[in-house]
Amino acid sequence: MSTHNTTTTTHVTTVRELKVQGVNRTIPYRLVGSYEYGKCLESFMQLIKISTLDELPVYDTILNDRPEFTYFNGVSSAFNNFPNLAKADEITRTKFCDEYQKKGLRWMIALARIELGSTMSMYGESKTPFESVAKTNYDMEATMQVLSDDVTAHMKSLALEEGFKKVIKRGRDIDTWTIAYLRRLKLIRDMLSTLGRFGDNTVKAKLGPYDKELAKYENRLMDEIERQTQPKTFMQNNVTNRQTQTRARRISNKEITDCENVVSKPSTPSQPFDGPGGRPSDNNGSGGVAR
Amino acid sequence: MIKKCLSIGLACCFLAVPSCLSYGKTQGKSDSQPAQEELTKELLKGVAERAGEGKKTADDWKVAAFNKLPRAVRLICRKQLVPALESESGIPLLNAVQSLVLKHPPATVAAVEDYCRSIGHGVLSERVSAEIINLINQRAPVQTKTWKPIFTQYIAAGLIESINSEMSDLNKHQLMQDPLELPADWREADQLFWEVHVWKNRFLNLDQVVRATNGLNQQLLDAAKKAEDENLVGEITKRMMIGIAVREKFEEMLQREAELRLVALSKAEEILRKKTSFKDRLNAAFALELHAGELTQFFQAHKPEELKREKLKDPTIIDQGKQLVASGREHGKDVIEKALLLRVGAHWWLRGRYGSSSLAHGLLKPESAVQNQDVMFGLFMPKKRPKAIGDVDSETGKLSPGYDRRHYFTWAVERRDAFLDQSSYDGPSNSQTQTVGTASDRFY
Repeated sequence: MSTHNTTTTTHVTTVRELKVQGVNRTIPYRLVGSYEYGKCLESFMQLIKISTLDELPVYDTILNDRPEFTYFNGVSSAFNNFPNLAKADEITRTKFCDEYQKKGLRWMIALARIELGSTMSMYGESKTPFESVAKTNYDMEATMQVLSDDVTAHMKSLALEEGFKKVIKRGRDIDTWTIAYLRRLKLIRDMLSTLGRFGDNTVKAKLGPYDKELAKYENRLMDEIERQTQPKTFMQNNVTNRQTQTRARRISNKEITDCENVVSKPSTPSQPFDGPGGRPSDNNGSGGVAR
Repeated sequence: MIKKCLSIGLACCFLAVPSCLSYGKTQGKSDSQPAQEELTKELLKGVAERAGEGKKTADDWKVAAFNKLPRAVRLICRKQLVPALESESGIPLLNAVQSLVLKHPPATVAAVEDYCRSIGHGVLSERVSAEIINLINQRAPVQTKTWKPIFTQYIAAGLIESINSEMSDLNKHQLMQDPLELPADWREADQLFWEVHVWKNRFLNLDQVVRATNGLNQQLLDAAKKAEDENLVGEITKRMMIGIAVREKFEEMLQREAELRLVALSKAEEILRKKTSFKDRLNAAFALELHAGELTQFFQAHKPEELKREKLKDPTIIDQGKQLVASGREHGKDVIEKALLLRVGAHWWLRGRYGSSSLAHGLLKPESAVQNQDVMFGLFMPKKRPKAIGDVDSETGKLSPGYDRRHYFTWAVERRDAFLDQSSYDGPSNSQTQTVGTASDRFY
């Protein structure tokens, strides 16, 4: 167990080092939502601080008047029976809205926290990204509910994605997808860790065991990156076959930094992800969510 | 009337050019008429074959259409145009079409246009014009000065259409109708001021397009001067006054807005003075601060005696406004800070939820954002009030904002460009308003 923990720590550190080495360190600041949700939370936190308990529900009534401040939770249920609202009848639609529609100040804060925390998790260096933006009791329950649903959606999606299965295959050349999936695994594990600390026991019992499994995949990807990016010694080069040498040349450190730096360049999907259902970003980026 | 002048003016400035400058889309079409007919026949034959066999895929169909093209056209399409059409950035397309129009005869251009249409990319000239407007709105460096008149002529129609369409939309808006009245309901008034806010940003973008259009007119003017055609010089100069017409319309809109804001300011002060419910006081306090800020800006830029609206001409209007603000602030001092924090926070939330930028399918801001506050702030925002996801927009039939959570996308942000077809997220679509570097930093 302790060995496992040590290995994980080393690998997470390496992930961080990779991010630090990446040329383009501006991405977390440039992602739409980081700045905006940060400013939003700044205002809302101050508002909660100066408001009385009687005043908080009044804010909800103002916000509830406006449909754009509503969103839907229950994304993970999309994998089972998410209705097609465009074609749904009024009863189904109303039922769905009653069940999943979230509005009001605490739910808005919850969404902002999770979006900002996710960016910090994937691109930042904080060990506890969600906790650093989830400190008030006012929205804690809502935040945990959304977080629980979001992490379930990520995990269900991951289980369905052919692309992920291909990425974690041993011996596969590393590419932008490797880095992207590492990032996603870290996000999911950070979410699980937050739920483990603040979520209710049912959630903990349900999702907790998956962390080990995810850590295994994370380690495997890190092993692959380390193996493929390690500089070869003269002797090693002499004993390896020609094919391995070619791959070692092809997969260089430069390529990893390039992976972080290809954002604005149009590119074609890499071969392993072609085919129906195989793309990691099918439909809406969360895998098989049927919308 | 202004609208008519504007449309006629713009139309003329591009249509009446010396013969030496005319690219002649019409001419190009007539030259290539037999070729086009033949192509159409072949394409139809391809459709019939496809229907008959029931086995050919859309890709087969595209390949078949492609193979029918002349070799030179195939080369242009394969190496330049199709990759540019599929690129997210507009610059490659602009360069590719410019090169096409300048280097090839009209018949070839027409054949390429037909091919693009056949593979679902629409009318090429309109697409290029739209991309130019997009680039202008993003404040991307569009070097219009280096364009040849023949290319200018090619894209003119799309630019004219864009300006006309915006002016026509504004003329239909509630704000531009008489009698000018503030809606009695808070939500309706709120909606109206939101739309005015959006319109101000749209005008900033329109102004840029007009400037670029005038720049293009300048080219035609220079060419006319070179040709020593004095009549044409006079005519084009006259048409370059189009910018003034657009600015006059913008000015009219600003004055109407100020008039409405004065009414709303008075109403907000009254609510705060009468000590109504906490909710009403919150709304009133926010309205008071919002309108006070907007009116201060307006009267800093305008003197009452120069204004056209009767109600704004009153020389004491500024003092009246100041008194209302002072009184409102005095009576509402317990709610003003809370109202501002609530609405400002909500507005930032809205930007985070619905905003999109120009890279990675709208998920990522340009590199310069980290150094330039304007770029960091600027986002494409919906023109209409967005609805929550789960609700389908009756006009577009799409969910809004198109994704559930940003983090479902951002884990692989560098690959989003590659999945334009697969992602349900629209990115910067036609329903955009605020753009990089132009957005007003005022809320509403």
